[in-house]
Amino acid sequence: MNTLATSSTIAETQVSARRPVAVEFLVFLSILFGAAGQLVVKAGLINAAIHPGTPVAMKIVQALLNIEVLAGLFLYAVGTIFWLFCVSKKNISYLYPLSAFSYALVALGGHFLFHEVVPSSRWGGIFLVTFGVMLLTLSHKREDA
Amino acid sequence: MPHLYLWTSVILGALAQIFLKLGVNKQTEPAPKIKRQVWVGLWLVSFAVASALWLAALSQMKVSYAFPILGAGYPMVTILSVFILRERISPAHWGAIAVITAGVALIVR
Repeated sequence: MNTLATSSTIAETQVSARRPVAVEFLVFLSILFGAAGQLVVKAGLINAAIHPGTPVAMKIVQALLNIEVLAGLFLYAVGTIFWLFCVSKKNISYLYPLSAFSYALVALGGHFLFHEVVPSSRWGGIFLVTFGVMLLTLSHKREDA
Repeated sequence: MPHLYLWTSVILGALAQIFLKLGVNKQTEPAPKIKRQVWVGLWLVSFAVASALWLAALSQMKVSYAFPILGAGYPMVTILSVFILRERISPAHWGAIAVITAGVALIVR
């Protein structure tokens, strides 16, 4: 119920509609916080080194006791709050596909932070998503003008 | 059965975004507060159920098969926003969605 109350308070908060750039900036912040959250959760799970044989319920408890996992979830929550602001201001058909950029960011983070091997098809996907997000933003700008 | 979980999860996840938009929309005259709270509540519930179904599906099928299906969420949200929210989609917009969907499918494979 607490989350519900928070969400409606956010809905009542006004974001300046006169500067369209501000919403795109907030979308980017939301994606950045969401992706950072995923990566920090992953770092926490690596450090927690939970034994593979542990029952699922215990795995979840052990994960949630890890400070980095909690910090990651907090970052993710901050990203969601930014997202709520954006959704109140722009069409969902425009905003939602932009959030796909987080896949590209997380894949890049996995490669550069955790030295995960990124196959060439995935690099192609990162390029395609980035290109598509740029295309969408540009096409929307033209419609606004 | 895992296919049913998977697709229900994707559809519910897409619907969740529509519920959220209905709940927090500020582009037009906002709906009455009680109505907005119902939409936001539906967003939270559908998001939670979609996540649970996703885990259920993932426990019974290969990640490499299940994950690219997530890309289907992007055209789905767009189609739902046309029918439910009456949002207008330009040809360039559809093109961008196709590129993004293909990209997501390649990344998460």
